[in-house]
Amino acid sequence: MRVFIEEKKFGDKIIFQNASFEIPELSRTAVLGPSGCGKTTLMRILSGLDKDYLGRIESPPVNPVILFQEDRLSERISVMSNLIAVTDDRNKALSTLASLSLGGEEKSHIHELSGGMRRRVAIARLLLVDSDYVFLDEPFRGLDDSTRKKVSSLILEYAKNRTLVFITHDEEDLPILSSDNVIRL
Amino acid sequence: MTSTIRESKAVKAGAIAFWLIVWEAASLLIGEELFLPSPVSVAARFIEIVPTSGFWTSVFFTLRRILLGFLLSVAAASLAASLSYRLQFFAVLVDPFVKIVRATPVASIVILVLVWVRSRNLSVIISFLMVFPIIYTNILEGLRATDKDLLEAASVYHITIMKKIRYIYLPSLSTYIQSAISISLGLAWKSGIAAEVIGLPDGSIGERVYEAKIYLSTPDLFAWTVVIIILAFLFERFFLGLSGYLLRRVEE
Repeated sequence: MRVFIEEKKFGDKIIFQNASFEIPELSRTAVLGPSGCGKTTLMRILSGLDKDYLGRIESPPVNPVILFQEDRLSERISVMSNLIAVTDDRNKALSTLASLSLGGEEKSHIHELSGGMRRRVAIARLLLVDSDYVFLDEPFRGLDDSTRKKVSSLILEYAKNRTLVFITHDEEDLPILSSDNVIRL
Repeated sequence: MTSTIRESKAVKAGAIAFWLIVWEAASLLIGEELFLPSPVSVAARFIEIVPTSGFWTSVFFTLRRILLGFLLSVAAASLAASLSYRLQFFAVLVDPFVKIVRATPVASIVILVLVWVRSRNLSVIISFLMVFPIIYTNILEGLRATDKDLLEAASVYHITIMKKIRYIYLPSLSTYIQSAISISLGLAWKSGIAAEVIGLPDGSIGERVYEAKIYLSTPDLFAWTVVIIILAFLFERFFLGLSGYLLRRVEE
């Protein structure tokens, strides 16, 4: 995927100007930068969610899957219902929950969970969906070190034979997700 | 917990007893059953009319029609709200109808509808019309309040429309639906009975109420009013219970 952004503005504020990036197929690309520098905006452009900019993308991703910075789970329904919404395979949903140390939480409602548990449910939902392109926005937000390791190995396993783009403000995340391409903002 | 519930029930029973005493005292003070019958004579009349076949015929006549009007209205208003949510021009089209129906007095609508339809089915149309704006407005407001981020995520995850309804829209709408049902059920009864009192369909509760007024049988008027209150209460309890149960199932 080759990206050329002539200009991206929010109101009068210019976010990107004459920026170009390349994201090789099957790479593990990190988008690194401090808070507020436009990382999420770039992810939305790359994934096709934001088309309001001047520029072009060559070979854009088709039906990418995204782990949003906010968990974006349906608060009033159970963990399992949130997963069943994206897959009909209940057993796979259960085993994915178990692999994220969420076994036994399938009947819990999202509003009953801690921030870290919600994040893992959002990651479980991502892992249940098939796509050639995977975008992760601050994937380890709210996770402690040991959970971060467990989650990263699951994500890396999932990202095999897929193109992975992840957004982070933390340089330490780069080796955790074995990045081989870095876009610094 | 149990003692708190018991205390709360005792307080409620005390409040009812207080108003029955006030009613009895006022009735004794006036001393004329024609103007204000005592609770005892109303209860006696109520017990008298309940076992009669005419009572049940009237109850089922009215119940059937108000129920039909209510259910048709819920279905039509839900469909219209969904279309308005998706199609802006449809929302603009429906808006004047909703505003006019909401602002027009029930009596005016009843008399107007009587020009077009037989009084027999009047309460179906009136309860339909009175309930429609409430259900429509609540559901549309709930749909518009659905989390946009969640809908964007649903689109990224290719969640089907049926699953979106089941897992996103319905949980988001549940408080709006409960509130709409609670408000509109009472109105369906009030407007339905008012329509029957004006249109006088044969064998309806409205006709019984009107006859009680014509024959100056105030205990009958009160007894039928008690019947209407009880039916409206049971109706509300049933539908709130049913919708609550279904929405809880959705949230599982």
